[in-house]
Amino acid sequence: MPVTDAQVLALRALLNHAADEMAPLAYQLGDVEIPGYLHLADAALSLLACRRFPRYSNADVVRYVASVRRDRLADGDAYDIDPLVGENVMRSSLGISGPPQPPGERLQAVVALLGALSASELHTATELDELLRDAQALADRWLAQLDM
Amino acid sequence: MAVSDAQVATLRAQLAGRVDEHLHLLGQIESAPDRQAYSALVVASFCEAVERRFGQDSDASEVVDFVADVRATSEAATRKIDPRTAERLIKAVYTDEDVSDVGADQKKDLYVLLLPALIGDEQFSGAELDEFLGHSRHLADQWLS
Repeated sequence: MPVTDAQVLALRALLNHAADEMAPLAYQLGDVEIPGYLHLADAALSLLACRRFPRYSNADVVRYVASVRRDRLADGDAYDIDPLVGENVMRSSLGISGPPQPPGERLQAVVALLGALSASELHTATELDELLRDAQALADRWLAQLDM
Repeated sequence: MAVSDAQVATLRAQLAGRVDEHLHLLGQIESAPDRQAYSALVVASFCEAVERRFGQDSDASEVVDFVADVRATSEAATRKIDPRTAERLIKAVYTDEDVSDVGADQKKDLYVLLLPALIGDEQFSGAELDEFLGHSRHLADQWLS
């Protein structure tokens, strides 16, 4: 099943840092559309991570996840993400496969990393539109492979 | 029981980057009491180094950055150092962080891995390293007495 407009809308709200909009939009996706939304989010994360780190470096990943945690810790310990999960998510986004991560911690890490990368890598509405279009195309390819 | 000159020399060799000498001296610490005294010296040095590097005014983000920098030095360091546990051991020195759930072996490994990095940041001269080890020895002796 290809990515839907509702899934793109929810991700757009996340990348726009509009938490008030994102929460109801994600909730409205329901159990059926959430898996596709997560693939779309993974696709966007992969595109942003590769833009930020064109060449993989373990040190870059470790330091980047630490920097994301540092910024979030300013708002309190509750905003921290699991560093090992965050690093594995980043490596996976950069094409380095690793062990599966616990779903809850993984989602927290994806949301945190997407928030940080979109803030640094997306500067205009046009860039956001382009990223969403590319992420949708990538997620559609992944979903098509899953359906085969 | 007290820390011996040989035990101080063993840790000094490690902190001065003389790996072969450190390993040679470490191999001579064989008896259980000697190992206990050496462990106390390592832990005391870790506490002393953390106090100097961080102290009461440090916030969590400084510890996160420090541990990330140490882990980023090599893929082996990334694998061996669990970031959250390392951060907790550091914070336990100057806060009420409870690390009683961390195993003794894991603590020992992390002290040994983090201590050279803490000392490296200080860029001690030989005399300053001696002074640092003197303070650590005094603290360890208090624990052992």
